[in-house]
Amino acid sequence: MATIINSVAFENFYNYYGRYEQNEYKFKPGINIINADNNMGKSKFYNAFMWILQDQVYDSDIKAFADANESLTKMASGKAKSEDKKFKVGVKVVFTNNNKIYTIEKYSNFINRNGEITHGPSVLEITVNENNGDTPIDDSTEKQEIINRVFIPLALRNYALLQGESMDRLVDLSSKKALSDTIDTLAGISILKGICEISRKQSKKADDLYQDKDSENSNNDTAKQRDIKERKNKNDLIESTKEEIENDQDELNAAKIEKEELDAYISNSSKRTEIRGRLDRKNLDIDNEKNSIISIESSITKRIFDEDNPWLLMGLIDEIDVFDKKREKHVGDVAQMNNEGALVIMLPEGSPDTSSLERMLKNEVCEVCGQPAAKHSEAWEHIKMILDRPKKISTTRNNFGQFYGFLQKSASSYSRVIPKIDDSIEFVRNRLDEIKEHLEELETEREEILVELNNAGGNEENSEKKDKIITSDYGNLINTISSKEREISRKKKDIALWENSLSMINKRLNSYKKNTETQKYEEFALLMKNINDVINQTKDEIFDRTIVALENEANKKYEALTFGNQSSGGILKFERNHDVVNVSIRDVQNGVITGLGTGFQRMKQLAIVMAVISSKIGNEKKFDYPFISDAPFSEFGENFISNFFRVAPNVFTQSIIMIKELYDSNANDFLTAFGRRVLEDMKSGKIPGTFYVNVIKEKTDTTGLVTLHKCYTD
Amino acid sequence: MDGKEIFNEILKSPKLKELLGVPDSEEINEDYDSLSSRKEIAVIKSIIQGQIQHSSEDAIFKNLMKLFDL
Repeated sequence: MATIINSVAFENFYNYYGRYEQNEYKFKPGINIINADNNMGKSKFYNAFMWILQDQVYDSDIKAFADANESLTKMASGKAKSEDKKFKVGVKVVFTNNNKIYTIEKYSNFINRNGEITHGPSVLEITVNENNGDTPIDDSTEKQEIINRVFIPLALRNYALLQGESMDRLVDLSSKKALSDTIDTLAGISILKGICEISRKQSKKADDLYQDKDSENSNNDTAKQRDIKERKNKNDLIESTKEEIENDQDELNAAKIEKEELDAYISNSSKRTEIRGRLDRKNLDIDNEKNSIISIESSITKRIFDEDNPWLLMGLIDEIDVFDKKREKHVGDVAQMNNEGALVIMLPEGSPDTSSLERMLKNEVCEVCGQPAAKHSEAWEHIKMILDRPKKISTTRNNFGQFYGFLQKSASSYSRVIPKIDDSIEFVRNRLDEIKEHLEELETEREEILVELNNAGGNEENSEKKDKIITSDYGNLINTISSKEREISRKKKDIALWENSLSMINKRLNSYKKNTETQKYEEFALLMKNINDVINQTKDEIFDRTIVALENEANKKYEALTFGNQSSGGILKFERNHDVVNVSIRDVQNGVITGLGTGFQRMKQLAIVMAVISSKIGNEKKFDYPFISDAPFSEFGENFISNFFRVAPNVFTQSIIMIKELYDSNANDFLTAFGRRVLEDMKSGKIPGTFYVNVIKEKTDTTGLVTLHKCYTD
Repeated sequence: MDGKEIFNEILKSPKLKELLGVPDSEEINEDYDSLSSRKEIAVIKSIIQGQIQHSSEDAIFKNLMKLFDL
């Protein structure tokens, strides 16, 4: 069954310029390394398989897989396009499967007419060599059958071909179903399930046929006819109820799987719901305290200007007297009343009186300074202005005395409350401090609750709804499980009753005489039923042993692959649930490690696949098809690569690894120290396989790029 | 696990041994690649091969009927 690739050769395929003979890599079972730096043909090598298997190539320009038929010109060697008039672009793979040697060649012919390059469609040719005779395969369906079922089967390609990010999709550790499907495919359980299904259907067909024949041959026997009819009814009833039980069982299993997945969350979920209740109450307390603070702070503004007790007057108790004195002095300074009570404008003391001023104008001399003041001169006009100044205010009298008196009177009423302002402020300040202190305590408690919530896997914003849904879903699942279990139990009891009654009917029917032909059909139906029982029983036994083997072997491989890692990947736990293998990854205390999808690195995904493959039931505990990887191993580190090379030959019959982590462009042999150690292990036979190094002799643009290779293990 | 391995597993079945009259302590001496004179073994092989070769249900049933000259 195993496919072993004997050789891969290229002709003018990307930078593999030249004929097949010049670009041939011969491979062996074990590990086949193609060590190459960037742009030295690793991905192109991988593309050769993609072209043959899926008519696709990885286009590094668009960073996606493209239709190979649309990319043929890109796939042609730049050097061939610039130098050759007629050339072939092709890939040839020779492999062995089941003692037959298959040669698959895929190619397209190119013509260069004065720089205009055209090409024909891609052509697929397959020949099979058996007993030293070559047989070309002409039928296109048969060619596809060889590619899809013999070379690397479709169902296994996800595990056989790894390129870059595809490793992330290798095993979906976040989904139990996906992991179960992987196990079914890799451990061959899906074949076993298929055999059981076929066996069941064939047994039913045989029984139906026998009953039809028996019925046909008993037309004249009314009693027998009645029993036959009743047997058919009972059989139909049993069959349909068994199908119902199967469906119920599927639903029950699905609910159990879902419940188990929720189990890890549900305890935390109810815990989170409880914590959120406390958080809500704490938030409410905090809001109340904050509102109290806002209320007190806004009352302070009001109190500053409060009519009865304005804090603004704090400390102003003596200022009323000071104010009064200042008022009196000011009034005395700036204003004086005449006899009529009118306000007069006062000149400074010693100023000339009215008669002196009249004389000065008449004599045209200023008696104050002794200077002449000629009529209408500036000095004369100034003296005249003083003489003519208004003696009586013409406007309404401004009784400042009354005004200041009112102020004094108003302020006096506060003289009683001003001493209490200090106490009032002190009281408010203490209350404010008290509330703020309590608020701080509440916020600290709130932080503690949030930490508790985070530890329980939640956060403040986004998971309350989810938790409620989970709690509700969990309740529904428990109801579904118990109702399905009740239904199944009831139906099984019904079946037992019907089978009892069927047995009575069969006894009666057996007492009737049968003709030879009917007896043959009866024998056929009975044997088919017995074989169906044997196969189903075997399936159960194989299943049980598979679980044990999977768990033991998988953990051994898992440990070997992760040996030397700083962090533990946990322990793989395999459990059977009806026809489904559940896998969980548990920590040392047997607690389920959740959040696997994001938490696990690619390395662990690959480790699990390798572990599952190697734990197959059967003699050959290996993956029967080539494992071809162009995955970036650099992320894994030297430790894992080393483990991989040690373990992989025991898991994969053959692997072809494109790798750059062993390449050193400055070394004469193009190898890193680690690369040399791997090569030595290969030469000494510790690691079976071949070791190739790709080189580019002349650094040039794509029109002249030519990848050559050296085999270090010849 | 391939067809041959499944066949070998089925041969270990106590119920099959009982059907064939082989004592529990003994092994059933049959080979997946050789013809068997026992109808039970032939039926098991037909079913396994039918699954592996993706044969139709009717095709498998016809093969089984042939084994019983029906």
